[in-house]
Amino acid sequence: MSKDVSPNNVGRLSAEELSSRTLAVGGSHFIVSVNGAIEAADFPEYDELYCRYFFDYGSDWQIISGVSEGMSQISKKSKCHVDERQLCIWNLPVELTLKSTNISGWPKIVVSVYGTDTFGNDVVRGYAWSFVPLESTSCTISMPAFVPASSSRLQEMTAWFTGRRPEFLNPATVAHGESRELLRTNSHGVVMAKLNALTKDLARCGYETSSREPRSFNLASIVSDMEQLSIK
Amino acid sequence: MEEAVQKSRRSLNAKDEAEPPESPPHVTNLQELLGASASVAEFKEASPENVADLSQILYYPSSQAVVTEEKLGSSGRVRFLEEEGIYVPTLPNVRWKMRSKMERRLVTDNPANNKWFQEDGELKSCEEEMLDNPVRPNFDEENITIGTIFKDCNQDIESFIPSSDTMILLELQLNSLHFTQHPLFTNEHSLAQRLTETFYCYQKKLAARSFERMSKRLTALRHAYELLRSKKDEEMQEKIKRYELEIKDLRTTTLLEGAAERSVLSAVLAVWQEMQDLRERQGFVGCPTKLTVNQGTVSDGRRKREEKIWKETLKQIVRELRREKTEEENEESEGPDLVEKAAKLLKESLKPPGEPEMTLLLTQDLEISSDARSLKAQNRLQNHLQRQKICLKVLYNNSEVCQTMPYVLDSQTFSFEMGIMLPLSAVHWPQNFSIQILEQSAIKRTILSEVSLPLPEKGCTREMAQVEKVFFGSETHSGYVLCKTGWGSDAEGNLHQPSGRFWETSCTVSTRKVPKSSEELQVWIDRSRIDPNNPANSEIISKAKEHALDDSSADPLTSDLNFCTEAEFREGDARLKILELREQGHPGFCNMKMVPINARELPEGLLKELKERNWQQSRQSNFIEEEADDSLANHRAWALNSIREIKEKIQRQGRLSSRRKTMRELVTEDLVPDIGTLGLTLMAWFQPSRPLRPMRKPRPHVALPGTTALSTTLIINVVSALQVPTRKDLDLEPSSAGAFFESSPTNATFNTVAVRPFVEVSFKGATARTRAAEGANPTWNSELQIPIQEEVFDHDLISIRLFDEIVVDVLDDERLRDIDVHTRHEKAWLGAINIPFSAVQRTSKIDGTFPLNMQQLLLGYEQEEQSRQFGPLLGPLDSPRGSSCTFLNFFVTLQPPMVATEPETTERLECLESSALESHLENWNSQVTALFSDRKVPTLVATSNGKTVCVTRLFRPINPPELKESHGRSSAELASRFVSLIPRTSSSVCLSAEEILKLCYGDIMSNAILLTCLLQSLNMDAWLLVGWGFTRGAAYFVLTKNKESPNEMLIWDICTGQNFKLDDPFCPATLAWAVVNHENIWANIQRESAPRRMRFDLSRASDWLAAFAPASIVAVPGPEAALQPETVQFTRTPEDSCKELVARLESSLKDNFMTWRTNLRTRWNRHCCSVLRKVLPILENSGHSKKEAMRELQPLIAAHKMIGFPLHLTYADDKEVIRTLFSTQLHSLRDAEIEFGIAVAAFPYVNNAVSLWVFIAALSHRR
Repeated sequence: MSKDVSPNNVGRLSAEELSSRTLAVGGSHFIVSVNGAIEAADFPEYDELYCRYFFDYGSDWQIISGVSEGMSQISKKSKCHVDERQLCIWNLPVELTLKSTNISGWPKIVVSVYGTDTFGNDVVRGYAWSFVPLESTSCTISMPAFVPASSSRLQEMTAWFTGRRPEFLNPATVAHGESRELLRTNSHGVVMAKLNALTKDLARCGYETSSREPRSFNLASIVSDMEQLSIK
Repeated sequence: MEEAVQKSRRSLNAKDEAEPPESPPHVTNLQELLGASASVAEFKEASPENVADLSQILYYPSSQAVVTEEKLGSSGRVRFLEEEGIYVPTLPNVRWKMRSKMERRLVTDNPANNKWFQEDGELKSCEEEMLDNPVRPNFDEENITIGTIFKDCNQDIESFIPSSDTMILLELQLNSLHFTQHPLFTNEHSLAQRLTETFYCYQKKLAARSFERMSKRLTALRHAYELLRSKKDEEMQEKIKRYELEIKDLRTTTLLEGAAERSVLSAVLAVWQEMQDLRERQGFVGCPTKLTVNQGTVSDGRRKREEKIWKETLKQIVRELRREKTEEENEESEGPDLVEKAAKLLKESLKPPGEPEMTLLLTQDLEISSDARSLKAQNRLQNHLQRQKICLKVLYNNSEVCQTMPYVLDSQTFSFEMGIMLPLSAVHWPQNFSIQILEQSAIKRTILSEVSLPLPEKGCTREMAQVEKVFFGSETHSGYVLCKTGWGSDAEGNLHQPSGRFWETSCTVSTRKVPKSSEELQVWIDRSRIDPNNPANSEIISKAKEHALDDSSADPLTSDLNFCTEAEFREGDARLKILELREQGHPGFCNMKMVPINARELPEGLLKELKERNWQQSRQSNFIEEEADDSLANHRAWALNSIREIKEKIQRQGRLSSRRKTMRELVTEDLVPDIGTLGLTLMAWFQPSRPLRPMRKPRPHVALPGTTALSTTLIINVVSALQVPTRKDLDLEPSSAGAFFESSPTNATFNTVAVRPFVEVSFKGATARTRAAEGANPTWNSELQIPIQEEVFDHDLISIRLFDEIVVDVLDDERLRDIDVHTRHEKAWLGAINIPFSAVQRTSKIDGTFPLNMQQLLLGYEQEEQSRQFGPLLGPLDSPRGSSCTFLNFFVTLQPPMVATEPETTERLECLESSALESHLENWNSQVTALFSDRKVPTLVATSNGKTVCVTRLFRPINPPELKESHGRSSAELASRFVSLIPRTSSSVCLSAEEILKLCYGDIMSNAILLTCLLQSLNMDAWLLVGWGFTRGAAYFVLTKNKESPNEMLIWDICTGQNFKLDDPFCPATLAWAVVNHENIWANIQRESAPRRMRFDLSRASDWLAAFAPASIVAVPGPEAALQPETVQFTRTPEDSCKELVARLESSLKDNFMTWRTNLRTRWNRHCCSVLRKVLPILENSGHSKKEAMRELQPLIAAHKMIGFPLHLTYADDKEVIRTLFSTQLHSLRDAEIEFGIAVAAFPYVNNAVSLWVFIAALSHRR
């Protein structure tokens, strides 16, 4: 028995304690900051939609600021003669900063769109997801959305009556590839979002996100280089 | 040539213009380049004549081939190494023009030197100048000369489309398909089939005419033999012998051949006979197969001739036989015997004279009888065949090319005519050309068999090709397809067949069937002993070499491209290793977050653990097998490890099975409702709309990631305490403190204060305390807050401890007493209560009065008589607790409340029960949850083999261990005490009694089940009580009913071994949800779930919902299915290990105690230690009376003032003991005079269970 059993940590670390430790608190990491907005949705058949979004990321990621989930207002399409595009506009701002040590599990935004059906039931209208841009860039993303289909005709009918359409237990399912073979889906529309991403220290961690622009060595640049040299 | 010169001139002019002509260095350079003395000025004005001159200056090698002699020089002789058998490697392909130019240069440059050429006149060149794998050089980033040029793909696309020249045209003609075996064959059909087969055999034999040929050879041989014999030469003796032998051999084979021929003939006739019989029997003809036998008449002359031949041959054979006989052994040779034998032989193999010559003819033109019976049978067959159509699928290089229409088999011949001509044009060379025969019924199609078609010979067109029979066969079907293949030609008559190389490879490789894989290839090379130097084999050899290279990866350039080797990956980077383990879902790593990006940033401990794990895994096999040595600590560590391993194993299994998700787990979807709910839903449509009452269906709660206990605060409101023991003659600093108390008038009451208790709460290293209150029944009403900083786990304990604050006056200077206050606060431990965090988290609050876990003997303190006024309120007086226990009233909660997310039951283990039972239990469970959603009833539990079983199977009466001394305890109490001494860990696995006892380590549920089993054998009904304890969280107890007095029911606590009456308000089982025994599972469906307000009549269906109703379809697994053993072997715990444990613990506790008292001397009172050691056995044996112990301690107390208490522990490991001792804070006494006494005792129970006592006391001399 060693003498120096410090009373505060005499306890042995149990397996669970050990396993869910967060390592690399102060070590080298990179930072990905996302901001933007979930702008609109184009669901031609439905109206009065609202959406919920959240970010799905791997286990080596940690939120350092911002919120990872949110919910929008219910948006109604404007009349046809006012706006021909027939979009549900949310303009829901999204802002999140994450740090990570591993690019595996790069954050994805998952948007689930809900609306009310003819009976006033709250039903899901679509699930959509997209990766956060992988480099410092700004882009407009359109995410096609789908919902799981009823497993039989009869159930489709009862779902229509009862207003309880099939939906995912966990919307994160759409952001992952596994067990998709079990599903049948109906596609319904498109969610449009504008996402700006900013990465920091990615290169320091050894990742290369964008190919470096090859410098063009034309005559003018050489001349200008020469001039600079001669000045010196 | 002229153009080139002009070009150069132009460029020269340009240069001249760009630079002033008087730049001499450039000109000299040019002059050197040209190798001519002509100046540039001259050159500029060069006329065409001058150009001609230039051609003399410049040398242009001609592209004509160089003669071999020229290359080798005069001395060289042409040698062709390849012809001499020396291996010559394939040389890189260089265009002959280039090569001859180069050769020309070399020859003219240095005609004598022949070192450039090989002996056969070829240029010496490297064998393989091209790497097999494409290699991309590692370019400098800054190197801009290399860049990718964009090129529009549209321009190149044509080159990918194969021209019509390289297309292959393959023609396939499918004539017909015949079945030789089919499940629908009638007897007649199979006979017909046999007839056909035997007839073909016969025909083949006839065509071969081997008997005729052989007999001719025999005659010739005999002739030669006779000739030799007539010469009678001595030298020829040898030859004659050989001839004789040969004749003998040939004769036997000839006779055998003849016999075979005749037997085939007779077989054909026999089958035909059988068939005719069958047709007669069934009365109709079902298939058109017919054998015509033509018998020629034999004329007399011929007959005579035949007879003559017969006789002669017979004679000949007899003669030969006799000769052979005499040569072998000169024994009695019986002439007639030999004759008989010869005749027999001859009869078997030769047509006897007079027998007519038979010619057989098989035809398929027999009239099918058309009477009613025959038609009926045929129709039936036809119907069957209609349903099973046959179609053919043509595959080219394993991809489907076309499919024929489905054909119906002809019921008479089981065949169909196709007559399909199929032209097939392909880009790729054929590697695999085959047809599939499919059977197509209304519902499904099955592949009967697949057979590869022969590819046509080179240059063979379909017209030239022979019709081939391609046989196919499976277990039930067999047959053949008549088809032919050929290369096709286009309109101009060009044959489109694969080009030359296809024939080479397909001829050499495909005919020899070179195996594909490397090992096979090596074996094949070894076996077939091919010449490695043979250029024809070079391809194979180099392939083998490649494989060999692949194994060792010796190629330096290829190895550059490898990211890292497997071994490096396994050994090297700890980070990768951790990521890999996490991916595999290893329990130790699966929830690890933010694994650092560099291996060097990994924490030290983790690396160490990783290494340990590796080491453990390497010797895991014997680690589990071998039992740990005698030392109890090692045994416990081993047991804990084993349990953890079982747990990990089960977790892994659960994870594996949970990977295969069902749709139910992904998607919520309402089941198809019955008509009632559907009606209601429809009704809802017609209800009046009530806009002020919005209806919104609740959405199932979805646990989003990120909800943790972090950033919440633990709030403990300590209200009051009852029956706190008061100080008894305790005054650590009698002189000064006493004087102080007496002198100050305000402290008149202070002096009489019996105790100043305060409560200290600690959680995860953070502590908070109340102020000190006064008296035996203090009230604090203070709210303590502990912010939770770290991640918490269910088993983290909130420890609430009650201390007495002793104010010690340390003022030295009596004169300053008026102005200075100098006191020191010491604390003395009075009791503690530990609450697992899960209990708070699940119920979100704990509120009530709870008894403290106190030790029976608290030296220096006693409970006042008058403070027991609350006794009757707190419980029955006869309960030991009612009189001598301290109660603490507090309230614990979390702020903000944490979302108690139930862990999703994704882990589905394999179930040992029948699927009916499994689904029944699941249904029953969902019934219970529908009634009371918070009551969790275990139905299927995981066992150590990783399978779930019905929980009732874990119950079976087990005889408890026999203990020597009972000390007034009943056997039930002893059993309970024994079980309470088995340490517990948290695991989701139910261990059987045998496993618990072997490991001497269990968990709450398994231990409770064990106690139930033990108590069942003790003349009482026992049940496992599943419930909730406010201070325990989810807990398991044992409920017993004495058979003699059925009204007396007891609840046994497995943690302390105590029993409680049902009406005890301080029973640790605050909620009871279900009871289980070997017969049934009863879920509590009463509104009340506190045991003291419940009815425990299990037969009442309105109170208890039984899983297995008597009339139910699903029966409870019988007692024979119990997983518990009938009897358990109890082994004695060795005394030595107890002694060793005591010695080690005592010294380690002393050491630790001294280290905790930093800057203070710790003096151990040896006398005290020895007295305490004597007290411990008394405490162990005498249940609750402490008088005896006090008597023993009396002399010590008389001389000293003492604080101290014994701690009774379940020994799990040393650290646990040390931690418990630390939590009492006795070491914090800072008095200089103080001495300490410590005693450890371990009392062995069976199977390594130990009752461990630690008595710690602080004492100071009375003066």
